[in-house]
Amino acid sequence: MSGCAQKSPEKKAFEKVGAKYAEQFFFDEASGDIMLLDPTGNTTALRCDTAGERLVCLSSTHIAFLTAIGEAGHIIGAPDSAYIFDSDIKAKIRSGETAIVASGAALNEELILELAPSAIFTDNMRASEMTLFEAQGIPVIYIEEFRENSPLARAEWIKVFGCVTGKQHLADSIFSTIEAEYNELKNSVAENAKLRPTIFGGTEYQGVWYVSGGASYIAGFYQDAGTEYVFADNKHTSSIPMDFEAVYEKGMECDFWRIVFASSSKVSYNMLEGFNAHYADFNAFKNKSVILCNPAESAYFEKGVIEPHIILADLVYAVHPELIPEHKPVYYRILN
Amino acid sequence: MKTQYRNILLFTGIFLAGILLFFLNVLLGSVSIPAGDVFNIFFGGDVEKASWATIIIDSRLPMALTAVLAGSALSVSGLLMQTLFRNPLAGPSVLGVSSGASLGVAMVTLLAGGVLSEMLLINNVSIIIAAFAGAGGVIFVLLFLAPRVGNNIVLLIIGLMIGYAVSSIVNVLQFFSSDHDLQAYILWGLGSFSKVGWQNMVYFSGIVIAGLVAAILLMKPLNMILLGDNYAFNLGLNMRKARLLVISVAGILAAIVTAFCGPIAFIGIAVPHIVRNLFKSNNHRVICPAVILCGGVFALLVSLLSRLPGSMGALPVNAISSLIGAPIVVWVIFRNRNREVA
Repeated sequence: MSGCAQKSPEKKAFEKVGAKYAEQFFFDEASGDIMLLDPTGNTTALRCDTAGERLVCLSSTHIAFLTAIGEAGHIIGAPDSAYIFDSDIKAKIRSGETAIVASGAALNEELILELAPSAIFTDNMRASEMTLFEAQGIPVIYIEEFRENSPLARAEWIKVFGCVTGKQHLADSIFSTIEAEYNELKNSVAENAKLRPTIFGGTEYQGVWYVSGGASYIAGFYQDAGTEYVFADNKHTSSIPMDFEAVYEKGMECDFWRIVFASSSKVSYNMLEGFNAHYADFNAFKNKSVILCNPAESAYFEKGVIEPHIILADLVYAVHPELIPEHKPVYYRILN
Repeated sequence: MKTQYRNILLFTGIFLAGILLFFLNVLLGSVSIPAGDVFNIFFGGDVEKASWATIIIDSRLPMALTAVLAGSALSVSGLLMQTLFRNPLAGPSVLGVSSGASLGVAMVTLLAGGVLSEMLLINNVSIIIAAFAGAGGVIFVLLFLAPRVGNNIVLLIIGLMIGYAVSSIVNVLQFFSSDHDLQAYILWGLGSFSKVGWQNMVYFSGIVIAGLVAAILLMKPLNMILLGDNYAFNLGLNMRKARLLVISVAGILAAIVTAFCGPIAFIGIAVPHIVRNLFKSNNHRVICPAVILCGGVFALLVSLLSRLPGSMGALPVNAISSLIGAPIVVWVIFRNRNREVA
């Protein structure tokens, strides 16, 4: 293994600086190294400026992070194009400049070895498949932004990408801009919104409704957008499965209903009612107050992570349109 | 004398097919590497790309070795179970051993950040240890119950019930898991020969070879078991001891493969059938070595086919083994039936 990623057993011996919102990484002030926490709480030290110029990334969110700091040109391996929105990368995949190294669950280990990458971006899910590359001395950087529980914490992972590619200052300034815009809107909503309408989210599937936890990043968006989340009383950071009737009872009275629903055809109220006739009983359905994100139409799952300020503005525009009347929705819009 | 000649011929033929398949496994993959370069990699000539040596030596070679060992281990495990329970549908998974391994893996991948988070690190090693611990737990329960349950059928039913119960716990864990954790669990469940690598080969091959040797040593008692419990007893076999030994060997072989390669379903049931029909024998002195050989060769075929389709990575081993295995078994059995009629 090369000197850039050593497992360290000590957890709290470092001066934690540099991460304002994120809890899954921090900078060690003495060495300047970035410290990544894995799901078990162990830290891995990552020296800055070690990623090199031949990058393989295994998630489309990594493409968004790298594109934001101007490193897209160094991506030589990417996951299957069906899940990629970024037109530059799509063009590079078509021209063969960037290879598809993973499709769905299947990882093309041989192709990655042949590409001889200078670094691989992945997450701990694939840790067992990474031993082969780590044994070759290829730095494997575990990006776990999805384990952060607030929108800004997820976006802050841009600093990890900035650090390893040697573009720390650029990443810092991009994050500062995102943070400033997000917080400015959040504070303005807190001051100016006259009331806090109620909201819930998700859809039923086979009798089960996965509801965002009360301490999840989605609940953070609800809070910051000036709404009252009706399932905020639990402390879960991930989604929790609930019985349809439990959601039905509480969701019925809600002013707004947020759904993320991938569909290649146009989503309509009729379509929703077709899935479950009880949807039509919801207040938000009757009042045409469904807030829809269609990931087949926007790069929600790719770029959404570094644009929390835009997602927040979308939600605010849907719920309190009078506060930002000029806003043009990108990810979420009220379904007509 | 004639059957002996035929058996030697069959052994030689299958062995040669195995050698050929082994070379094809090393030669073919999603990155195409010319045969000349592959030759040079092994015999120290110049290679066009440095990465090719890595692909051959560190990826394809350990994968082919893993396939041989895993195939042999699963097949022998299946044979032992089929003989012990005198049931043609028995296999390595029948006693709940693979379900136990699945539960171990589910605990690590799905409960991460929860109960086990402080103790375990999610990586290759912890998944292997968890799978082995889960499978070992089930074997332990079975060994505890076996002497207390006189009847093999009752033991078989208990094994199946353990399997169902353990799978339900896994289902509940899945239900409450995030999609990232679920994906990690599903990845493991698809089965793969690629995760042993050189770093774990010593442990993997050591345990598998020890298990295979133990199975060879069990050939005589297995033949007695085949005659029926009363005969075996009259021939002086300590049935209880023999049963515990068979369950331990079969269980450990299934456990080690499941831990490293995921739950690979079909090979263990199919290969003993293929062998019995090819060699037209029930004598374990013939079919036990034959199952070891054929299991390895069958797994090599599966491994090759799962990585062939075009440019993109690999299909799950589990899917391929059943897909090509099922028709082979049906064909072998049909062919034999027709001969019996004729």
